[in-house]
Amino acid sequence: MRRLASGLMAATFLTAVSSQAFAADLVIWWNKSYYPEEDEKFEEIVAAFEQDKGIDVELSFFTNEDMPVKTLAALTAGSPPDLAFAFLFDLQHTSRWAYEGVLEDVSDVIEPMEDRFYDYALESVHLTDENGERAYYAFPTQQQTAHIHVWRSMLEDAGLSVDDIPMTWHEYWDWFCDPAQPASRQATGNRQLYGVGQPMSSSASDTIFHFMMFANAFNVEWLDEAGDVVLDQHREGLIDALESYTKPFKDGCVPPGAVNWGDADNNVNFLNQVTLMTPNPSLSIPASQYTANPENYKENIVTIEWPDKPDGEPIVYMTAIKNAVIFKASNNKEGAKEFMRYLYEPENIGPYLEGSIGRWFPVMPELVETPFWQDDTDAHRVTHRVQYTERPQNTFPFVRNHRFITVMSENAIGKAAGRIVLENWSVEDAADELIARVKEVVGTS
Amino acid sequence: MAVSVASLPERRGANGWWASPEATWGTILLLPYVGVFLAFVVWPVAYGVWLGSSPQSYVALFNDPIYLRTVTNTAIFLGVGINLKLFLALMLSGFFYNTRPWIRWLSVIFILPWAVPSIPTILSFRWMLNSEWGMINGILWSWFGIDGPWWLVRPHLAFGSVITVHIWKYLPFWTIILLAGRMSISHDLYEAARIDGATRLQMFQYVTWPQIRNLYLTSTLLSTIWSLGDFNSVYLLTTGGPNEMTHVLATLGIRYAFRMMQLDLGVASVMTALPVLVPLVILLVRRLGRRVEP
Repeated sequence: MRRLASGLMAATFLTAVSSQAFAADLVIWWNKSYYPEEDEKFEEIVAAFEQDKGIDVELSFFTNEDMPVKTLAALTAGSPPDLAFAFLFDLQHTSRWAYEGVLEDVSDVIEPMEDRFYDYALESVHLTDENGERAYYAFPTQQQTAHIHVWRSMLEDAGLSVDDIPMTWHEYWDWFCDPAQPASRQATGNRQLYGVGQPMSSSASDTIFHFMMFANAFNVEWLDEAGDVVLDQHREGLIDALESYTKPFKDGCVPPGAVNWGDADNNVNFLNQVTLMTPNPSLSIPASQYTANPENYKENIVTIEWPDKPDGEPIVYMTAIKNAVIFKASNNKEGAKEFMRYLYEPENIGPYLEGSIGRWFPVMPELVETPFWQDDTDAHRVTHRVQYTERPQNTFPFVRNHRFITVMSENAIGKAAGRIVLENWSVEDAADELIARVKEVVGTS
Repeated sequence: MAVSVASLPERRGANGWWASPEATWGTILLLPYVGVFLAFVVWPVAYGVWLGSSPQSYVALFNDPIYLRTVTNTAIFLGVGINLKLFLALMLSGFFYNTRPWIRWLSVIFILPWAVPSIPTILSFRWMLNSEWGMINGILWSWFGIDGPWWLVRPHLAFGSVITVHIWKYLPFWTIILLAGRMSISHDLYEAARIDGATRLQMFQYVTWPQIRNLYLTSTLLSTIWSLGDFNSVYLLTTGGPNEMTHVLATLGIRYAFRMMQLDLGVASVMTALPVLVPLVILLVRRLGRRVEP
């Protein structure tokens, strides 16, 4: 009997020990991409790193939705990966984690190469801890901004042209309502075709991204440099932005189902030709056609710029800087830093981002000088490049105060839009509720 | 007459028994079960209670206007959805009690919604109810030339659709349960009632209902407990939308925990169902523990 009990204990012990012995030197969790090329490039980089440095890496890919959830679970359990990257970290977690002391300070990696990054990219990862001290708490890797995609072929079938689109604010949106929508409905015989694929749902982060662009158009500021709420000083601008954002829906130019859209639904509706145009944060829509339907990519779909602001100034583009993080509870922090230094080599990160078919824009100006980004025959990429290199950018308010992440995660903006289009609230009341909520959640820094 | 008496095992004292090989083997064989119970029952429940133990979470929860609406929705979802579902199941169990061959075949088709996994079936409903290109509005337009309602856009229609889908999904299961109850009733009782000149309604009132009343009430309790955690019917159809207006407690917990990454609020919102859930469970266990008098 004693022998049996001893045997069981020994087996348990050996199992535990062997699982430790086979664990890799460096554990990386990375967001699975939309395109195989992007993942393959990353795997190649990891393999080369293993060979160069003699470090054994355990690389796991997780989907967009799974990555934050799994990371949160691992953090709660006290066993996070050494290095983690998710497309949603910046929008949902990074600044809050920095404040809560969850993240490793990576200034020793970033500071020696500061001059290689766009300033605003660095600003978005130069975050405050609970003592108000700023440091680099994340690695900026790539960025996304809002684009407008239009079915050129559908406009032409309706006797219209992309060149007809006015580039002044109100006229731009109105044009897709009339004449584009009725002309296209008549040409196709499809009475359920809509001019504007505007995300209106409180469950889509796209709603936030695009409303932020509308807020920029009306010069709305959410927080000041210190991270304090100044939205109440911009009430009129906020009312105008909400009015402008919800007008196409109220005019019947947005599919009614947009109030229930998830982040992929404006893509789906646009690609199914339910909508003539849609804003989208990243080039995922044309990129999805790159190999699946090259004619759509090259001819039928165009990516155009946002219109100028109502005051005639160029629009300021919101940019979301994607980032990778190391946790304080990670086992191999130095190994993770070493990997990021390796990834930042232009011959590594450049091809990796190009594997996304232009979906992500580099955070390092030197990477834009490659033939891939300078190729003027690709109209989508040209627009993307112009948006980032010739127009002003603005980072999200959570960079200045981590509490703004809560405003975004509860989608107070989508809720305000819903109040107007579903519950018949006045724009003023919806704006006041939004201001009150932002003040309640964010308070002062 | 020869009487043989089997020798009884020698009675040991308590300390003696614990030292016996039987006790050692018993303990070893029990250990995995105790381990599984601790790991997968005690630990998750205790951890959940601990996560939702901060009073601040409940203050934040009660101050969120979505929570109040969600509690109202949950009450309507349970009150209307379960009673309607069980009532329909009771009626349909009478229909399927019939032994005609075509009804047998129909019962096979009828059970499909319950047998098929939730994701494809409820997502199919979501697409059918789409305002722009859904099948239902498509039929309304092509047959009658009318624009159908915005099923999942108008909050009341969306919530009505949620309740309808819940009933559609789980009705077959409860119909079978109640059918089994009906089938256990002795034919002699119906025969006697028929001889006494009882109408169909009287047979239901004086024979069927008294025999399956306990089963019906137990099913209602059980369905309430299960439906309180029904995440699929709501999340797959409306995701709690539009504008967070069709949430029930199960989906609100997920919204907090995984969309807003506020695990404490997610747990707290589900914990607020305990004052309803625990008495229901106690009531159910007490009912199940009752001896049925012959």
